[in-house]
Amino acid sequence: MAQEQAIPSIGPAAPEFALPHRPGVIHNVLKFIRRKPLGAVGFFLVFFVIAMTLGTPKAEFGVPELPHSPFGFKLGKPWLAPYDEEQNFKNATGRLNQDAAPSWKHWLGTDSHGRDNWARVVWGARRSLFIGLWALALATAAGTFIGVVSGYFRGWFDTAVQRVLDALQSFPPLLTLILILSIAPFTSQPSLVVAAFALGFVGIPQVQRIVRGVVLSTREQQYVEAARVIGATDARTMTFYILPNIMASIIVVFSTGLGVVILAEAALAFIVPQVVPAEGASWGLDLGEAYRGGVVEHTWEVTSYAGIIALAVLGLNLAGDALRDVLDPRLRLG
Amino acid sequence: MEEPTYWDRFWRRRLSRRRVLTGVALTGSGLAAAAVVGCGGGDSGTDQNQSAGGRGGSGEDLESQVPQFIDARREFTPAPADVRGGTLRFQGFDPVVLDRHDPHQTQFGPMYANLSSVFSKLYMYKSHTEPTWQNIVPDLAESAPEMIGNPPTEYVVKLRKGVKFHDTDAIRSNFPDLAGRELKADDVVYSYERQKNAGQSLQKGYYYRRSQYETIDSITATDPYTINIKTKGPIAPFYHFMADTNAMIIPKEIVDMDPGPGGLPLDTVDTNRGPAPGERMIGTGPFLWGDLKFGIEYKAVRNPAWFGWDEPDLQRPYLDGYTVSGSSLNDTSLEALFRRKEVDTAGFIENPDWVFKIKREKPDLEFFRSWISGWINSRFKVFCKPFDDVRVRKAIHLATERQQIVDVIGSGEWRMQGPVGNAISYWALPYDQLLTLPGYRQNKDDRTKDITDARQLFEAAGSPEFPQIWFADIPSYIPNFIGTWKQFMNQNLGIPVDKLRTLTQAYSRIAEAIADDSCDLASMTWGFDNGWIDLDDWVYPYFHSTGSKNSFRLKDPDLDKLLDAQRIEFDIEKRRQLGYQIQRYLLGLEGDGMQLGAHARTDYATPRTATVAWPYFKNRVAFPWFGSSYWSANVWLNKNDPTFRGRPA
Repeated sequence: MAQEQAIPSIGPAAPEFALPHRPGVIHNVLKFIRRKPLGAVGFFLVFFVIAMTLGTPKAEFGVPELPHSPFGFKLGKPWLAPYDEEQNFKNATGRLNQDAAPSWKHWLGTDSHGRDNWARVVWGARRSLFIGLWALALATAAGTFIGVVSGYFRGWFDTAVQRVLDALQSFPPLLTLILILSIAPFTSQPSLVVAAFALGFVGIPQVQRIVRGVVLSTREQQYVEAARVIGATDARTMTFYILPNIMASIIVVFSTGLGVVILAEAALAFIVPQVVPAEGASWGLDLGEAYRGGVVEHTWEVTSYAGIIALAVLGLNLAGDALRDVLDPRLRLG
Repeated sequence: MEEPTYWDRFWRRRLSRRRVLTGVALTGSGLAAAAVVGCGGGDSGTDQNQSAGGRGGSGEDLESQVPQFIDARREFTPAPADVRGGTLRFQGFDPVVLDRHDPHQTQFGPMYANLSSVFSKLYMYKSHTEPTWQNIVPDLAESAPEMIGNPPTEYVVKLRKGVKFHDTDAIRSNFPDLAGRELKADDVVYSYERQKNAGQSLQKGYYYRRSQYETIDSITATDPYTINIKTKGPIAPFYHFMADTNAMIIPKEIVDMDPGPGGLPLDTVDTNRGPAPGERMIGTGPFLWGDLKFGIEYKAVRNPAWFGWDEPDLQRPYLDGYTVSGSSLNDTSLEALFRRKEVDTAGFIENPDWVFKIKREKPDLEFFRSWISGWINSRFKVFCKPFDDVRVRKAIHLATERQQIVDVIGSGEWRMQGPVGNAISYWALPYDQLLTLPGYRQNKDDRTKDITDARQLFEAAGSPEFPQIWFADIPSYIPNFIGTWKQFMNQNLGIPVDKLRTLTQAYSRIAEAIADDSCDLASMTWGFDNGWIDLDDWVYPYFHSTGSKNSFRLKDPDLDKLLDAQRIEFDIEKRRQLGYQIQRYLLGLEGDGMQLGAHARTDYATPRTATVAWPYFKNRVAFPWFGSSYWSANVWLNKNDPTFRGRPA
């Protein structure tokens, strides 16, 4: 009984000690829009591009394959696509309805194959986004690993790794990409998986450079020294003390890098269409085909594909900038 | 105090002139976009930009301005002495060498173009309007051959005297005995014997024109300037064989050259090994092989010691050389290059609208329309399932939407094609007649019937699954068409799109694969072929059981008889009728139409180019087939023409 009496009862706190009221999600979103309107526009564009890729998953599981089963299960037709990506339309004479101007049926007109440009834009988003995500996942994973290890150990190991990566970075990225895709020994065919791998590979030096810079300052923090003092191994220190504390930088690198990778993929498909699969909707390929057939004659195609590439990249950059401002304590607003 | 937000700052800003203009511009743009969207037509015939002749603008009003070349050799204007020299520039696929440099082994058309101004032949065509014997004139030969026998089985050819092989410092250092050496009858004998070679190993190469040269029983040099050729029997197209695109005379030395210590023995002109192409491509043509940067540029340089056909006093070639660039082969770049006079002539790649537009804009420009002998087709390995079943091949033939190929790939400017190219109208089935045949006719009811027949044939054959279909990787319109091809195969034959597996491959790889007996490789292909001149070129090597291009492995005795018959028919009209019969046989229109030889190849469409040239470009000649660049000997740039001003040096 005496013990029971010893346990203090938890009752309502006195008003002067109450925790401040936590604002709700909607309040935070509105606050973000008010303070970072450009960031909000960026996030809107990013969510719009993501929404374009979404479709009802089908119950078909297998090896991840870009772009229609990127996570191992097959994605159905995107909800925002009114038509199939290859569906072509005919006019009253039975001929293909080529290069038609925008209408209520075809919001962005049709291309030289009589296909709906808007449908191609939506289907193409899937290819661009999933290649970008996979490429950046590779670049971020490998770049983070190299950056953390290199920055943590420093010394001759760091010097050697950095010089190798400097050498890699000295090649123009697009040429490196073309080189990898041309000599890829494991495939005789243009492959989106290989393209994603190549894009990721080219991105590794950039990611690791940023991560290494952050690690160099983080490793000098007192809590890292404390971890060493209590006997944490190098692996434990890197995994549980350094990595969580540089995560904000990694997230920012990921968000801003995605725009770069999407642009690189489109540029690659535009400049050297032979190295990427010709089948399926692709912003870069479709833009290249329209451009090569004459900009004036294919105004709506060029505008559609160039416009969506610009909007997607703009959105990712704006969202990335806003994310950096929010996550970086030095830039965080009160 | 709460920090001011973006909107607080926004509302506090003054209403500057810039902000007003920005607002007006944005509002205007939005209204314009809305207006365009609102005004756009829908499907089902409401689109106003759709004409019966295809999409976009037509060049029909310009047709009357197309010059007619009858005799390229005679009908030209000699260049005044004060304007000679300079380098002609244009764009083309010439620098894109997809197989070999060897003039006897390459089967890449643009390569023939490079080679044909470097190497000469015994005879050549002076006109393409009727590619028959009447239009063949001497090149290295002094005169028409003496034909012995009736019908002839023996040809005596006299060579011009004093024809010299190219001579430069580089050639002299590698081939001291060849540089400037006179061409003799032994060189002709060697070149002809070489193309008879049936070897197919890498070392011996593959002689795609073997079917022509195997007709020779013996070829001998009776004296240094006389060649006696005996054929195995009467061969109607033999005179043509001596003028054909690859009947080039090469010196033995460039094939049998000593590779040097440690080098591989060479018996081909495979320039991947040995001295650079410019040092090995030694002929007697009006131009020297200058330089070839793969995919970027080919340069030809004037041969100052050229023999000059019958008129050496004209001192041709007039140009210092010509350059073909291959790096900007798209319509947008071409138009810009042409307007800046960085190229002297240009034609459309995919969309002709800019050519028509610029011609209307600048009426003084020379305007040309020309058929290309090349065409797009599908080849089948007729011993591989399911293409061993004629019903399947015929179903594909009937289900193919040729009009879509013409509209999408050819911007409505191409034409559908049968087994012989429309460019060679003398031998091809008349186009009007072709358009009435199943698979080609576009009348709505007929088309519906063809598609119904196609579906029935395919189902009767058990709706078999297709193996992987191989598509050529260039020009880009071929791989770009895969999606549309799948759509109509799905709609017309009911094959699910995901069951139509395709592979995009380079031509060199496709050539290897169709020569392979494996049914896993290229059982059906989809790509471009060069196109030819005589009826025999179009049918015999492809479809005869002994043909050197019979990748189908076709062995059809009835078809062989027809193919042999056209070879021995010297009456040109009767031969033409035999040609029609062969074409009908191949299209499944003879007998029950289910013979083995029917539909071994499905022919789709052929290009018709529209080209413009600046008026200072004189004596331009365009032949429909590859390999007529020797006519560049006549070309000159009129520096006195007002349009020449502003041309970059």
